Amino acid sequence: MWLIGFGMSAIFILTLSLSSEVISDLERQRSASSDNVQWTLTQVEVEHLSLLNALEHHMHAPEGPLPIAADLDEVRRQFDIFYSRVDTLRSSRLFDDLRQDPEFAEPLEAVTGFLERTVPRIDGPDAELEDGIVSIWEDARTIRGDVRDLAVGGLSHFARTADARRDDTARTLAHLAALSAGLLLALALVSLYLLYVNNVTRRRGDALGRANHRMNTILSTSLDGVIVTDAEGRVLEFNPAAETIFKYSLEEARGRTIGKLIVPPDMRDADGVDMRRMRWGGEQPIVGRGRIQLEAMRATGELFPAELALQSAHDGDEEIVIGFVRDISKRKANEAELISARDRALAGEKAKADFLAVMSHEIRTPLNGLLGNLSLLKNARPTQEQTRFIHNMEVSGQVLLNHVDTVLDISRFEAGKLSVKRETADLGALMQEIVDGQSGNAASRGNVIEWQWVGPARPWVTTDTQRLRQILLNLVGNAIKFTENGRVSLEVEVAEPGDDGETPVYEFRVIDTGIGIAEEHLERVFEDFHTRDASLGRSAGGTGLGLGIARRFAKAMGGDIGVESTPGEGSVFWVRLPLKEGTATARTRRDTRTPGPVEGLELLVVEDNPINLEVIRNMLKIDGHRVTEARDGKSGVEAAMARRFDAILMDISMPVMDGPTATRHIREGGGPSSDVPILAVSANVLPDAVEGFREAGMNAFLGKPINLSALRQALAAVTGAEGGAAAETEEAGETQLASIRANLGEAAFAGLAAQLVEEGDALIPRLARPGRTEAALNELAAECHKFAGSAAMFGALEMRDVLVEFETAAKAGEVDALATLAHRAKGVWSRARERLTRPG
Amino acid sequence: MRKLISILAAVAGLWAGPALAEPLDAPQGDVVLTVSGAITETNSGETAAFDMDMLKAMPATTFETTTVWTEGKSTFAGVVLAEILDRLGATGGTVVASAINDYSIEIPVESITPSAPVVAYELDGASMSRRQKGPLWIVYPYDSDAAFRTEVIYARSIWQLDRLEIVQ
Repeated sequence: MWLIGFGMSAIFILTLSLSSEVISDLERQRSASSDNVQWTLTQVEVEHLSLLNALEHHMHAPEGPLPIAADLDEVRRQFDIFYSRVDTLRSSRLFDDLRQDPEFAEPLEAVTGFLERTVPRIDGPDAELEDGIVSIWEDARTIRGDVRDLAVGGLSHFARTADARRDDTARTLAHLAALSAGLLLALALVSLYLLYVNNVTRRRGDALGRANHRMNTILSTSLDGVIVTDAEGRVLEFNPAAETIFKYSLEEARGRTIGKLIVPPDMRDADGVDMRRMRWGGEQPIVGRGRIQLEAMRATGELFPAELALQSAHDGDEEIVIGFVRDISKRKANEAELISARDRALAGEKAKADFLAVMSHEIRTPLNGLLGNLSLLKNARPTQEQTRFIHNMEVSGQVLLNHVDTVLDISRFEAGKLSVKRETADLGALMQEIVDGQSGNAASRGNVIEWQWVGPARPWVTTDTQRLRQILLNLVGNAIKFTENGRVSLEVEVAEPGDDGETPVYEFRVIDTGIGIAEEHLERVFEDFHTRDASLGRSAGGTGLGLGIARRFAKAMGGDIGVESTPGEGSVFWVRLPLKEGTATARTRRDTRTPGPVEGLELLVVEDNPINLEVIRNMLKIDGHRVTEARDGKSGVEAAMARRFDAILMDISMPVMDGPTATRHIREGGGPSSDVPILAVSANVLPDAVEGFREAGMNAFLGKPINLSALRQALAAVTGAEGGAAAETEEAGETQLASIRANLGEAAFAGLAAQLVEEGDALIPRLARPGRTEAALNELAAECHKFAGSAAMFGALEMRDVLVEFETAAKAGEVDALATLAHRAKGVWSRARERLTRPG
Repeated sequence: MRKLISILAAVAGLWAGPALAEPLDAPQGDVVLTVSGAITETNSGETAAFDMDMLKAMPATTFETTTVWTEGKSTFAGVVLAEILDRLGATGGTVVASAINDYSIEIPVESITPSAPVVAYELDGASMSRRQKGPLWIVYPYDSDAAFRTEVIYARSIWQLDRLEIVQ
């Protein structure tokens, strides 16, 4: 903008200066500095001729009409006229320039000379003039050329001057024209610029108009109400959506205070509402604070929930408040519905969880009584026949327990509550345990059962051991069930080593040489309730749920399960699981060098169920523990406050005071037993519950139904002693031996046992001479592996353990350890051998 | 005696006011200016003749100016033409002024103001000879106004004036 002003002033100044120049030019032109010089120059010639004429007239006059004196006067007159003319040429400033020109100055000089010469004679008396007339006339004639030169020279000079003057004028006019043109151009430019600016302004105005229109459209089509008020709350704008929400029309609303319009009466203060402070019944100012929810009122007086956002702004000098209002009644209703649906769902979940917990507890509790007593019965020196009966009962009890567990597992899986633990496990030990446990079962059907690593052994993993065991047991059980006089092999292989930080994938294979599965059944074996033969029910999984559970577990552990089979030749059940590497821990339970079971502890047992109580009491008495009993939590706490125990076995669900509460009381009570290990004894094995026990202050958990070995282990663990392992092994071995004896019958057993003894006698000395090469060691390891399996089948579990240790050490190349192990093996073998050859 | 009468006449003329034209005296010396045409006062036949004294007897005007024909400033003394016309009761539209060399020029009566032109008889305090463009020269105060510096005015600045004719 200022550029224009600057330009304009510059042009104006230029115009002024040029104009003044032109004006002064013209001024000069106006005052003619030249009297008509042409006239003067021509007249000089005329007047010279007149003089000549007068002179000649006088010379020829004697006979003439005029008297002499008059002629002379005439001569004098003409001379004076001529003189004054030439004087003008000499002195007038008009001829200043001309006089500089020698072409003019010389003739002028000559003419002036004539005049000067002639003046005295003219001024003299008549007679003298008369006499000199002729010479004057000759003189005058002589200067005739000079006079002409004056005229001609002057004329051309003044012609040039006139031309120059014309040029000047022309130039001046040209300047003027240029100036005018320039001015016109400037004006034109300014006009153009103004036109442009006008255009821009108009377009801006248009854009503004459009934007305004757009804004209006937005406001009028917005589904949210938009209310604009001034600082005092008087309504300025009320868009159609607001009209719909509040049921006021724009005309009704405009000018009125917003508080009186839409705030429920009980929330206003005395003088309506001040929008600036925005205390709409609340303490916080709400301008510019985002959306808030509050109750608003329609014109009909109906209250409804509204969402409101307020902003203040400046409209010129005034402050205005803009409110965006949304009727959220529907949303609130939906929210309420969702909340109630969620609550119902949660309640449903809770009901399910409660059901599971109750199921878990109520069924397991009597089972505890059943199996616990059976366990005790086994230790009451039963006869062989009785042992067989006990064994069968135990089997049935186990089956029942397994059914309960299966149902619980399925419920938990379906409820999404299947938790997968992560604990360090030794796969080798696990496989061994499984094979051991199932060797009797296998032998009873004439099957051989064994396991091995395919490829390098990587036994230490982090996994849920329990679940894995369940899966594998399930598969092995099936394999044994459908195989007769055949072979069941377990293989474990690191299928994908897991380079680049990926989790290694392990594949477990259970291979049997049984009857196989027809192709059309392969897909369906994993379905729930699918069995080959509904009449079967000898061992676990007879419900047909086993594979279904196995698949659920496999999936829950992030893996997969499958089967390949050739009818008549056998089947391969495989399980692939990603298992992270675990840290090798010191071998505990299989370490046969540990001392015996913990004995002679002072124990407090808190249990309300008399049967369960008797079971535990008897179990504990076997190991020589001294037992104090309490029938409920309260008396348990009192007993704990009375004296110090070595450990407390606390039942969980009891009347008066339950286990966790009692534990808390004992811990916080500060009595003599407040820091003593407390074992939770419960049928509720759900992990959430177990976590709850730990939080209450309990150190360990013992699940019902209790078995003796678990009890021993738990006590050993909490009292810090490692004992129990050897005894447990021994006891397990005894059971195994007895069982196999019973199954095979005495004759077969004797023969097989003799064969085993022979093999063992051959192997043991070789352990002392393992050799040094890798090939030799591996071969020896394989033989140990094979024999270990057979030994385990005949209950020589300790032997098996030693051989497994030897095998592992040999494979790992730990040559130094081999000697010690060989020596130990020798001792163990002599004991085992003795047992095998002992009459039944 | 004649002088007394002319003085009395002049006084009478003055007393009577300029509207009344007074009877003219006859010239005593050389006639320098002859006025003819539409005039009411004459002193020789149809014309009015003036000598230098008669002109000098009339109210004189003096001014200083430069001219294009002279060098430097010149002081002219003379009688305003309007005065002469009034004195003679001239009624006409145009004054034709003629010079000794028969140069003549027309001067419209409406261009004649009470101060210009002046029929000058003295230049720088002295009479002008014929050779000095005298005895009478119609001059304007050129310096006082740019309007007097035009070719038309210059053309009217007739020197060696000897005749005036008042025509319609």
